[in-house]
Parts: sequence; C-alpha cells; structure tokens
Amino acid sequence: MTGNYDLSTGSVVSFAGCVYALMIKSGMALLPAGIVAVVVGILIGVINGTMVAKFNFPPFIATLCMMYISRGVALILANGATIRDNMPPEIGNLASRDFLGLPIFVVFIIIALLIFVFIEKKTLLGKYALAIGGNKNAAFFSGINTAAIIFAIYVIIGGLAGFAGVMSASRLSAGDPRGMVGFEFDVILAIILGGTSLSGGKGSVIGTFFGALVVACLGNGLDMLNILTFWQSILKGIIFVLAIVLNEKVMKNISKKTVAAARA
Amino acid sequence: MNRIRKNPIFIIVSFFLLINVFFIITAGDSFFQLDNYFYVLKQTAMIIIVASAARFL
Repeated sequence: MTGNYDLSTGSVVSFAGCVYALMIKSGMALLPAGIVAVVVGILIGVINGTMVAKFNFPPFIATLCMMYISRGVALILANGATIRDNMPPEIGNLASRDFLGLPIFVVFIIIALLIFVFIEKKTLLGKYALAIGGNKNAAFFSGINTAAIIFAIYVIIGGLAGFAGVMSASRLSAGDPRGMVGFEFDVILAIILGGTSLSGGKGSVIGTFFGALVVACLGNGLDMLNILTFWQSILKGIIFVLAIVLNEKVMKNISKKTVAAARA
Repeated sequence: MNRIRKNPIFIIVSFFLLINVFFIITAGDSFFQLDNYFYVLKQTAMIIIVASAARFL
C-alpha cells in the first residue's frame, strides 16, 4: 500500500522455524521458544525497516539481502539439514490443537483478519499507510512521519513472519532451513489478487484474504485432479502476470473515475 | 452496479466462487467438504497472516 515490499518473508519464516525447533530440541518450553522465534523475526524486521526507512535503500535490494542472510544463517544453524532427529513430540502440539471445534490455525487467521481490518479502518497507522501510498511527498509535508510508519510496518511483518515460522515448524514437527521457498511470491500474489495496487494507495485486508484463498484453492483443486506440481507452478506464474495486468487496468479505471469526479 | 463490478473485492470473490464451482464439478465431492476447506485454510494460514500485514507496505 505504501509502494514498498518485503522479499525476505519466506527466509524469515524458515529461519524462525529453525530457531524454534532448536530451542524445543534443547529442552525449552513451547511458549518461551515461540517468543524467541518471534523476536528473531522482529529483529530482521528492524534491520529491514532501518535500511529502507532510515537509510533509503531500495526495498528490493534491502529485503533481497536479508532474504539471503536469513536463509544462510538458518542453514548454518541447522548444519544444512532438516532439524528433526531427537525432536520432542510436543513441537507439534500447536498445529494439532482445536478451539471451539475450529483448527487453531483457522482461529489465528480470524484473529489476524480482525486485527488488521481494525488497523486498516480505525487506526492512524492504516490511514497514514494509505496516505503514503497515495503520495509519499504530500504525506510527508502534511506532517506524517513517513519513515516511522514504514519502519513500523516492516517490524510488524518481521514479527508475523517469526510467528509463521513457529506455525510452520509445529506443522512439520521439524525446522526446515530449505523450506518456504517462494513463500514471499505467494504473499505478493495474494496481495495483488486481492486488489492492492503495486504502486500504493489502494487495497483491503479482506481482498488479500480472498486472494490467498484463490491461490490455495487452485493448488488444492489441481492436486485433487492429479496435476503435477510443475504445471501448477507454471499456472501460478501465468496467474501472477494476469493479476498484475488486471490490477493495473482496474486501478487505472478507478483513478480516472476519481479524477473525473473531482473535476466535475 | 457498474461500480460494484469494478470493485477489486467483487472481482476476486467472483473468481474464488468460479474456481470452487469448477473444482466441485471436476474433482467431485472430496473438494466440497468442510474438512477439505479447513485443510486449505490450515495450509494458507501463514500466507494470510503475513500477507495481511505485508499489504500495508
């Protein structure tokens, strides 16, 4: 929405998952291990945010660097192999839990959507992010601390990627330093499919939710039709291109209508 | 009506429903089950959680 992006999310999820698995393996309880993994994600978010917001690095370069660094550190921590041997069975407790008849992961989705719809509609962070995406200079000169807002968003994403790492390790009952490849592109695809403009200024959380569901349903349905994952990957790429074209077209239409309405 | 049709959320929800109808017809009953939808949501949970925040960027 502010016109920035984060390419390091997949590696951070994998890195945090490895940290979580190592902590559990060393005998730490689930909650403190989860907190350590989330803190690791937050720290990477702080580095990303500092590079982009404070030192004005292009987000593509800054987050690409962190993508490689996180992946490298995860591989070093795990000695290049999946952390699975002698793993206590409690690591899978989170993924197998239910709450009011719903799988706990579904509950996490509902909570995340409620929080982010609230942030989008009711808080200054959501409104300022929208303003920065619309016109960064105008937002800056109207008194918005653009650097602080962008920094805060990178930190939030880092923390959530850390939490996603905990979820991933719990699902696999292992820490996989080579996992989550392409995760960042699934995230970007979900965001674009949901109608968020690549150049910033437009978008909604509910749209992103449906965008992610479309990607997942496609994968699930094609699996059921016994279509090879190689073909699924090609199809995903085609949808990515179509989504970008459609996104730009719809956004141009909306902008034209807004300008025409303002002139009238 | 025209305004609704050009709404990105309307477009993506329509696309989502269309995909579901297609897979219900082609993949059969196994696709259209609550357990399968929970499975899809469990698989996507990490993407949804990170994407909800990443869209503010």
